[in-house]
Amino acid sequence: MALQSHGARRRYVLVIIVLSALTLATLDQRAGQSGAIGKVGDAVHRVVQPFASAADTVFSPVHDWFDGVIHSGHLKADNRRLRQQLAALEARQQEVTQAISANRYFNSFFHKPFLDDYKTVGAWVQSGSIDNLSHTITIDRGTESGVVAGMAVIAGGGLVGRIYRSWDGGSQVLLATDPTFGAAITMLPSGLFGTAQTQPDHTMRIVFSIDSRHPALSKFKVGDVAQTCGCPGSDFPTGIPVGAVLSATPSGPEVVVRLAPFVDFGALDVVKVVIWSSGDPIPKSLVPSTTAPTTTTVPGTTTTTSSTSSSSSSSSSSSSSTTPTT
Amino acid sequence: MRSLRYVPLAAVVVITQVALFPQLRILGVVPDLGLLFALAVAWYEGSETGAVFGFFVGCAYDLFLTTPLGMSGLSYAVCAWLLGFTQGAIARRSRLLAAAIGLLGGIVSGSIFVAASILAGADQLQRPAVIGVIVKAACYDALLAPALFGLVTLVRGRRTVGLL
Repeated sequence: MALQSHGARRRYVLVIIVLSALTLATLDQRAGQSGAIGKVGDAVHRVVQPFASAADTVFSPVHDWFDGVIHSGHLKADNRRLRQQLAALEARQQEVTQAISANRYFNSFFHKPFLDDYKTVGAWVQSGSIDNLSHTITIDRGTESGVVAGMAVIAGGGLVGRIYRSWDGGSQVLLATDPTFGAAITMLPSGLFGTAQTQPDHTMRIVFSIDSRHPALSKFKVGDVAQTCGCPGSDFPTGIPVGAVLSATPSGPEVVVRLAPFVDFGALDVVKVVIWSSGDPIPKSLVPSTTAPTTTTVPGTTTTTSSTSSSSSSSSSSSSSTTPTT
Repeated sequence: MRSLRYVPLAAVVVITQVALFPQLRILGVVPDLGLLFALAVAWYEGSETGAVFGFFVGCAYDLFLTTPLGMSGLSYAVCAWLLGFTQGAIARRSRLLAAAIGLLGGIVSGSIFVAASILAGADQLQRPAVIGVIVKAACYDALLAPALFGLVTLVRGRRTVGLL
């Protein structure tokens, strides 16, 4: 009799646990990070953050040393290759600076904001993924710096991911390599919009419908760049480089494009969080005034000047001369 | 009430798992310390205690993950419950038994976790690579299992049905 009741209690405990787990999963899915469970998660992160930080301080040098020993052969070759790249890049820097200025100037005409005009917060990466099945990192900036869930995280190469959860003193970032990650993008130079979805092999996949009236628009070359479009409802502001085209395969009335992300996710030490959430206004400095362009005619030439209230100096110097008119 | 002595160890296990082990990956995976802890408690204290500790430790771990809350709790608890339930049938005790329990537990728990998460909407786990990750993590669990069983024995304070 006692054995029987013990067996029944065992089963009862298991049933209670299964039901509790299902209830928690449902509550978690429904409320998301804003609910009570999300708040508990934030509190727990705050408690663990100092330990994670200490572990990072202690173990990072050890980890780096082991990495250095194991990969010393590669490191020498990498160093040589990087020096060559640095020399080439330094030569191109001036050219790129000029191109960025020109690009900024022309985009101001179309009310397109630039990443530089958004407030960003720099952060150190504290640790990699905590578990085996998701791709996340933990950074050392959180709500105290204005970082909230959904914000874009970038590094030198481009888009790193989005803030999944933030608390006072840190945030968890869902990397762009996680299979749940997706971003609204626009292809350059065609300007086509689409949704890039991360695949298990860490590339991103986009499907475009071929426009029969403009089939040339749906032709992509290897190396074409995709950037965030800043479309309404998108988590990310416009202009963050996402990746380059690896392949573009026509499939019936569609083209399947695969993107390789620009960021080296294995070497993330420092990132920036873009302090901009979906629906936030475009920075004031980027909104041109409503002043109509003025046309002045002087004997021999006609000069059209467009003045904006933008703080960018390039706008005030925007003038173009046309051929002489009578 | 006797089981309350495991609570501090449970907290240490969760903190170690989320703060330390992301730095100590082997073959790109981290072990499931919470699972090993739950298995050890189930071995020494029975299936119910093991399942309850497994559930709470797993849920605490879930708070750090992007998968639905309760999935690790469920998988740890079910594994611990199964071990406690079948413990009487395991006739041969040896030093390697803890490692074998860790390996099997890792595979079963990983499978339950993935299946339950997919049912709860985590479609990203529907890929073959997940199997490799589960097996590698189970091997890491097997490596650490004797140490975790030893710790639980230490906290327990006496060695009756010992493995080590």
